[in-house]
Amino acid sequence: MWGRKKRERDLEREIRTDIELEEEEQRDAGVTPEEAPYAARRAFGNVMFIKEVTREMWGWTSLERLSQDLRYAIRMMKTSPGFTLVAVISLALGIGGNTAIFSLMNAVMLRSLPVQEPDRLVLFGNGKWAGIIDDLPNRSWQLFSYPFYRQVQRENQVFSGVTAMMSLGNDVRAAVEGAKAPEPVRARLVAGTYFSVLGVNAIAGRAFTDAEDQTPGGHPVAVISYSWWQRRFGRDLSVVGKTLAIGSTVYKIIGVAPPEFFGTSVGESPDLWIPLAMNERLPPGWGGADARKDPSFQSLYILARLRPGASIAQANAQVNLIFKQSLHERVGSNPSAKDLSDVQRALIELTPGGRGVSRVRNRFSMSLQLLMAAVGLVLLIACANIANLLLARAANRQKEIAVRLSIGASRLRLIRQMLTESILLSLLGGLAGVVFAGWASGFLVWMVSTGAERLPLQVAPDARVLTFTTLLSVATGILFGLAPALRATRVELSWSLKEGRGSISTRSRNVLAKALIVSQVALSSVLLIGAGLFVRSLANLRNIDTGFNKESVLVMGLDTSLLSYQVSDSRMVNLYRQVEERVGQVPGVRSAAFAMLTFQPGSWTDYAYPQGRTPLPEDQRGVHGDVVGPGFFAAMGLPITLGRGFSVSDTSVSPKVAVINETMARRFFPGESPIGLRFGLSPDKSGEFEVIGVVKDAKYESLRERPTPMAFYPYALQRASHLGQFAVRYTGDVRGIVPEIRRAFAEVNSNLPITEVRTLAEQVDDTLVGDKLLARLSSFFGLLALLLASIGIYGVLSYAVARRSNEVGLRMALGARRSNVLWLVMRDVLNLVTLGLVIGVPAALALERMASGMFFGLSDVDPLSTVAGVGILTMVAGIAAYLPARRASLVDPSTALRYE
Amino acid sequence: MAKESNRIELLQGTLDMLILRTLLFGPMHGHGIGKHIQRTSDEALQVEHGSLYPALHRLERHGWIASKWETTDRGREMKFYRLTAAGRKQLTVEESKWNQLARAIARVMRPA
Repeated sequence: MWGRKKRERDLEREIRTDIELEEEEQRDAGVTPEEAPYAARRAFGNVMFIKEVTREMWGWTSLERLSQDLRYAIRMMKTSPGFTLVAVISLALGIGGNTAIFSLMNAVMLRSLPVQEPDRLVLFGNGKWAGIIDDLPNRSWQLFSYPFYRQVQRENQVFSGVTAMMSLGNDVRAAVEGAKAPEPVRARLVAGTYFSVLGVNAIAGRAFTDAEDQTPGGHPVAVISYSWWQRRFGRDLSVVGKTLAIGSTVYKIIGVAPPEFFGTSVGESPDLWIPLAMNERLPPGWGGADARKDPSFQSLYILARLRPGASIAQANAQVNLIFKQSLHERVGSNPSAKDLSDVQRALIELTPGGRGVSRVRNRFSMSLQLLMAAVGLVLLIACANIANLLLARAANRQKEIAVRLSIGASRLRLIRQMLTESILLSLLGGLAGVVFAGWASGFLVWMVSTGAERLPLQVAPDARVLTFTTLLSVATGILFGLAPALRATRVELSWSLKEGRGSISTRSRNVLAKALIVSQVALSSVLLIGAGLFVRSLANLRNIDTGFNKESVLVMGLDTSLLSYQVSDSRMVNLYRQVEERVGQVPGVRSAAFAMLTFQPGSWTDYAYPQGRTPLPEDQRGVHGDVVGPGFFAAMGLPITLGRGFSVSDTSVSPKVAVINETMARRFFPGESPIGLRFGLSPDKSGEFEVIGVVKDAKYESLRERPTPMAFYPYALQRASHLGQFAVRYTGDVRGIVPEIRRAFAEVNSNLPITEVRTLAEQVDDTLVGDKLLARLSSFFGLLALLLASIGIYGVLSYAVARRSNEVGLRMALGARRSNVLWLVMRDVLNLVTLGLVIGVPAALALERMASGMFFGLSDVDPLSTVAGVGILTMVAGIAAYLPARRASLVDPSTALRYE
Repeated sequence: MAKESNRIELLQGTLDMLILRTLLFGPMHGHGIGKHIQRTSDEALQVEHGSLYPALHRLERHGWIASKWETTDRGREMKFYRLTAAGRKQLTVEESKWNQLARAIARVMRPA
């Protein structure tokens, strides 16, 4: 700044001395001494302008000009604190909303795993499946067998490392050395190569290696997560070497993972990792001993690291070659035509693996993208608002601008200076927005979390989020600042200097202001109609007939695998019976039953073959299955429409029976009563189960599913299984009943912990979390848009009314009535609103058709949400317009005419 | 306005060359430089201050001229500009460019 001041003085002096010299020369040339100074100045030219253009040559300008502009901008903000406040708040909401949604998108969809060179990791398939599948692959495949994992590891030449993870989690109870009772922990089975391929090192102790993933059941070691270490052990370093017992196996803790590492699944945070070789020993022991040998036991995700120089295309080719080979080996030397065509169609698509596997991602990415678009629209509306305010303010500054232009400021300089003001505003808004987003993104995570636990998503802003917000703020500032700045600096000097409030540019200013109002209305209508659609869709889902009665039912989660009974153990069945009986005696309990599945994502599918009929085509043979206790249908409120349900007399020695739902009855036994007919789960055992009853169709996994064939089997050894669900229908107060049920459980067997208690209604509601998120947030954004747009209408109209008071006064003096004036002002706005709707409504409808998959039970054009959206918008716009219009109609003609 | 009619607009960039050429005779202040160009061009070239000052400051930034406050013969303290060694070099560059341009234009206007 020193150099600049000195130079400024220097220039000042240089010009002054030059003018003095000129004056002297003018006098020498015979001009009178009085005239000489003026003549000299005339000859010299516009001093301010000369200074300005000379300064441009100094080269220092950009930084110092910026600081000048900033100081000026801060001064301008101080002079109109009201405007600044409104602008910053609406920007904070707009930018903050965008930041919050983006943080969530970043956490769920964009952020890389905290591992070495995540961009060189590839995932086999897209990770959208989880579970165990034994079909022969016949399309793009996502889950793989252990033998295939080892085969890829051995035979490939494109990866520097290959690893695998079990797609299912093992939520178990672990007794830590020295602790009295076992506690719930989330364990994940991963291959021995897991940590080395990811490049994740233990921060204490060490990670396990492939050498500890060889002998089935032979490597009882565990790496624990940082967060569990912190939570459970208070970051005690002596944890390494401690043991913990899970089931009948004692594991040794050998290391602690780094704090940022949460595994390879976004939205999960395991407490410990255990080598895949321990699969059989770790409850529930997925697949038993087969899991390591059977190529049809496919339950693993495979993640691999590309060798330097290897391309994804090469990897793709080689992986698929190995895959086809393994499948040919699997079908044997004498494959059926169907097997061959399946293998033909089987394929692995490699996807970037650096972001891990995420079911949360699959579940929410569409919703998040839609919300991002919605919140982007809100920001646009906020921009339009501020642009309008700036435009109005620029009109009031016209004289100042004219003065500055006439004394030599360049237009570019003025535009730059006004843009500095608007960008400063938007950066302030962005700063406030980051604070708002910090709160809002936590709220969003809470909204998408189901159950008692918050989804472990890291939404704290990182560099990517902050960059996003900064760029967004600057872009916003330019977006709302540029048009007003261009408009304001296009001034007819002579006119503006003469006119007090300058009216020359009102016409084009009005055109711009009107265009902004129209676009606000159009955008708001899109948002409001969209919100209406999501709300209606959610309502449809909530009102859908689930088939069961979800009121007054408790669903409890259990870990029966802890009992260490084999599934075929008759003690297990006895235990189920005793618990059901004992709980049934609790006052207020009407019926209670164990079940494999109640209502939750996840299913178990078989092919079914009706006895004495030709098998159905393959794509229709699939039947879901559930294993339940006698009281299940009563507990769930599933009405039996034909025959009977299960009873205690259906035992392991009585004939095998099944209850099927209406869809299965219609599909497998068309045209006759299925009672007494038989079906089986393989072609050669089609007489295995006798149908004893038909139960009403219901939803089993999701409210959006179509009617699915379903068969229920009694647990009494006919289809034995570990049953993890317990359903109770009750009357009266639920709070009194839960402890009673717990006591009943403990009386029968103290080793059977209830892990979770929820109502069936809650369980149903949990499957709607994405729909609820969309309905709530889109409503919020819709209302925010409405608020902003009405502020915009109110502001522009108030301003217009103030400027037109003269005209209004004249009209009233000539006999116009108040109602005429009111209408005169309102008509303008209603025209704009109509125009906005003419643009917005078709746009909303077009979007509705494009996203029709997101909406449930709505026709392509949903009349109700459209009419509601248009109605609300028109009404609110009307109110926003009425207030200033009324003010105009109350103008006193004599005052108005005297003014100006 | 009739007075302006026989004036010639300076070609972009030529003002720099004229200033450098003027300073070849020795140090001179801004006012004098303007006047000198005007005089030697028989009033055909009028140098506006709005062009002269930026040009002087630009040349100074390039290091082709240097400035110093000095007292004139008539006892007036003025800012004098003088040519630097780099400026001399630049002048020859500009002159040869100018000659090329002039010849080129001449060929177009009066084809042989």
